[in-house]
Amino acid sequence: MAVREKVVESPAAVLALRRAEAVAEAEDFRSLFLQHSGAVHRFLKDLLRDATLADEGLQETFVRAHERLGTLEHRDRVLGWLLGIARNVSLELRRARRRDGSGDGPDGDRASAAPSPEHVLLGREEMEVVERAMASLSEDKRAALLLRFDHGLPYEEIASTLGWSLSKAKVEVHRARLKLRAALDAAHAGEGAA
Amino acid sequence: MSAAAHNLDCDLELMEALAFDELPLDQARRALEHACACPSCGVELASLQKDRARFHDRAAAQPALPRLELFARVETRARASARRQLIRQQVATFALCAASLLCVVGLSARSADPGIQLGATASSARECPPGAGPCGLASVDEIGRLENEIGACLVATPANCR
Repeated sequence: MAVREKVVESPAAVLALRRAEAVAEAEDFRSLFLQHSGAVHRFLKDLLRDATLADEGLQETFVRAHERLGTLEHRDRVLGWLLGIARNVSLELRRARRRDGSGDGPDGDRASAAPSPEHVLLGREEMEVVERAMASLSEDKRAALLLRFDHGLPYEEIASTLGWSLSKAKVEVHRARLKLRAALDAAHAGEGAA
Repeated sequence: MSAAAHNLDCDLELMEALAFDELPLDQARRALEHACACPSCGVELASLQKDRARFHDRAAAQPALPRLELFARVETRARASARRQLIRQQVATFALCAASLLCVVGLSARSADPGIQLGATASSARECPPGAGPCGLASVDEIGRLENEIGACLVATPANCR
């Protein structure tokens, strides 16, 4: 015990400890990025409907996450925390895009113009329908639906991520899902008639 | 089909929790039994599972990200941001120290000035001639003379009243 105290008190040991902490923090951040960047990027792309902007948003999200890593209280809720930052970033990017006048409107105009690689890969008509239905949802509903069905967050986390009450989170996800289902049903009915 | 399955009320939130694997094992088993026995809950559960699978497929079909390349960019930006933050903190600390120093110097200068001593008390007041009241006030005799002139008793000197 006495030896340990002596080691901790020595300036060189303190410096070494700090260095080790910094390395561990950097490693921690790296693994955080590698583990969650795919989900965050997908979320941003779904919200912004623009892959280039999603790239930019991803970087900004993780830079902010790096700054606030110390404020993260629940390590098991890290994905929800990251997606919350990503949503704020997406709102800012969209506002900036609106200010620049470089396209706006109900997002998705650019994305729906050409089939994305995943659509080509899947070759599914249904995916197109899903994308169209998603694009027709309001930003709030789309975010809520994605957080629940794509990222599998529980309602409590969705509510805290979006700054809503628990009941609002449930209602918004339910409404978005009904809308999505109606769009899919309509598309299937159209296929049947054809 | 167990009795528990029949006793369980139709609960769409429960079906959703089941579809998202959010129920404890025992509760999940009972909910599943109910879904098998109840046509409307069975349809809801199937629909939820289908929606979930749809999003899962969609996510799996996303092209892979150049993560390492992106991470290098993020790391550079994060370091620059941390440096900026550190500089901001240092400037703020310096400004605070400078302001505190200015306050201390200002207060010292004030207390050193004899004209405006900060904790001046009655004992530090200038000396008064004997027989006179406190400095700047009339003496008892002067007040008595004034009372005689106006024929009134001043409350401050009831002893001199005639």
